[in-house]
Amino acid sequence: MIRMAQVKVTSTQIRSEPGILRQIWSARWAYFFIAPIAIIFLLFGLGPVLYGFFISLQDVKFGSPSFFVGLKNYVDALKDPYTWNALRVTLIFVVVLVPIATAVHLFLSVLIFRLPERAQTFYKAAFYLPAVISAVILTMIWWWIFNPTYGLANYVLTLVGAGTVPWISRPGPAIIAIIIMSVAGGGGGTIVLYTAALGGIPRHLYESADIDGARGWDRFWNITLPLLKPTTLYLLVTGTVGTFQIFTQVFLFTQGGPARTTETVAMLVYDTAFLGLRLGPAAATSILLFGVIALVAVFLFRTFSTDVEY
Amino acid sequence: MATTVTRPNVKPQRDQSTSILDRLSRVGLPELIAYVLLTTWALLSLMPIYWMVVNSVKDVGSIITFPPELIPSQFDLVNYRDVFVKAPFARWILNSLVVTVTITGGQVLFCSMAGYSFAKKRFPGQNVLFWVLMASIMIPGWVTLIPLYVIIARLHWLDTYQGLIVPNLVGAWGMFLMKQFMQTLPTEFFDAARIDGASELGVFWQIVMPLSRPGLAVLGIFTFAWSWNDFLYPLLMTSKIDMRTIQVGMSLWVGPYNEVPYGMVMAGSTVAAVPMIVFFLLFMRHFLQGITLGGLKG
Repeated sequence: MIRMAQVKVTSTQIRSEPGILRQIWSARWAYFFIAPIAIIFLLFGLGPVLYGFFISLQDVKFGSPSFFVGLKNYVDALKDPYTWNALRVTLIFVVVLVPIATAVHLFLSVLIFRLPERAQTFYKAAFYLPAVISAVILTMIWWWIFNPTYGLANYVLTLVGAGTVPWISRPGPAIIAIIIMSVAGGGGGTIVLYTAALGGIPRHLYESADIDGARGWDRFWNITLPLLKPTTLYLLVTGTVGTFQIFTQVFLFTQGGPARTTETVAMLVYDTAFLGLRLGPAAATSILLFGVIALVAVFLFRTFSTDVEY
Repeated sequence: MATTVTRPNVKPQRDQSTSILDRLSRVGLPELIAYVLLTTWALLSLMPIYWMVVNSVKDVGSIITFPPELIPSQFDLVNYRDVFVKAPFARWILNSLVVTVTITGGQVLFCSMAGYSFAKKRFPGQNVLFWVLMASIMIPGWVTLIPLYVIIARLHWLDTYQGLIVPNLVGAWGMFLMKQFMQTLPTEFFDAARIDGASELGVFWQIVMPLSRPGLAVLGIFTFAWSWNDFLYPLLMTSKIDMRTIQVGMSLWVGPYNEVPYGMVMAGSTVAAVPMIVFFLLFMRHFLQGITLGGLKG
């Protein structure tokens, strides 16, 4: 028999916290307001993630019943040379595109920040405008610009005397073209974010540095850059996670060709699932991708996140 | 003793009425270089848009020329006619409109409901639910796409409006935005209203929502733009050409397997892009605000 402490309940005593059911009932309106998002999220957000793990462990094909195969899909994926090829291509994009784009856009933001208000808004709008147009349209236009025979890119190259480049038909130039497209035609969001963050750096830091005789590059390296670390971290992480999944640009530019030499992991998943009709293996590959992304994200957080006191 | 009268060193104040020339002459070399670099880059950034519009009014023969015509010598709307005649472009526009408007409305409503709840109410399970929702942002889209496809297929929602709309009716980002925004609203207002006899729905609809207009505007604008431009999800969820959205439909025109209709690509892109450009220029302030809301802490 459990001995319970005998407590005499008096009116002056603080009432203990109401039971869980009581709490739920008194908060019923809170639940009502959450209901739509909770339902949809469970069905179409969280559910699929769990279901995805489930699918990856099965041999799911259209038209035939699926059966459990355990980790076979994962093993197959890891043994498939195309998986590693796709990973290689994707890593090229991530390693080259993200740092270059971030650095270039940071540079542009610093330039913009010194300008008067009206000029700032003009340039921010000019850089953000491509982002408002869909990636599809932008990619199609740039694809036309990089057309080896009729495109602007080779035209400009011939004007300055350099030879033409087979932009689309060779993997190297194709990847470079996509990178150019992303750096030159994108970056609006990054620039807006950086200019806002630059505005948050207290002026007095620069003033004390000036008194100490610091010049432009010193100021940038020792004050601006460290204080932009949170923003830089955010941009690097979101940029990396996004670029790991790059699909639309490659899909429209080269369709992964020639001969799958520009196929990214996302494209591999798409091909496996919707052209090869093998959902199980595709799900496994996508989860492997998820693992890689998570690792890289954690690494970025570890490396770049420091507490900056000012 | 001779006293030297020193004139006080008065720097001319920068006032609005100085002419451009005056201001330019005060601009130092670094600023000038900045302007040159920025303008060059801005041209690079905007150039595709110009190129798209310019090419859309050339007939196909003039598009496929070398050297490319930078300034159009003609103004021919044949591509625009082709776009509507040779492809179900009008239907695609309708599809995009239906899907985008519904998703935008849904997100604005449901995300603010949830944001309100998280911001102003206490309930069991609140923290767990919040963090699960936030964690979903971290999950790369591709992990959910395949299982989501299977679910939609099982529901027989492929090639339907509901299939395109329903899973996108809520977003963790939108909910986070509204929660952050609503947290800044004074709770006393709501309490006062309740004391005066307003119902919970009344408080939400007649007080919280109007006060949240700036946040709702940002959410609505970004959701609209995102949904209109969405490519991957509609690509997977539709296979019938009549149910495609604009972005997916146009993407089918390019590829190695068919003769690319360059004129249609340019004209179609212009038609799809111009509303968004106008939209952006009208609501630019909100766009720029919204980006910082997402990316800056505090």
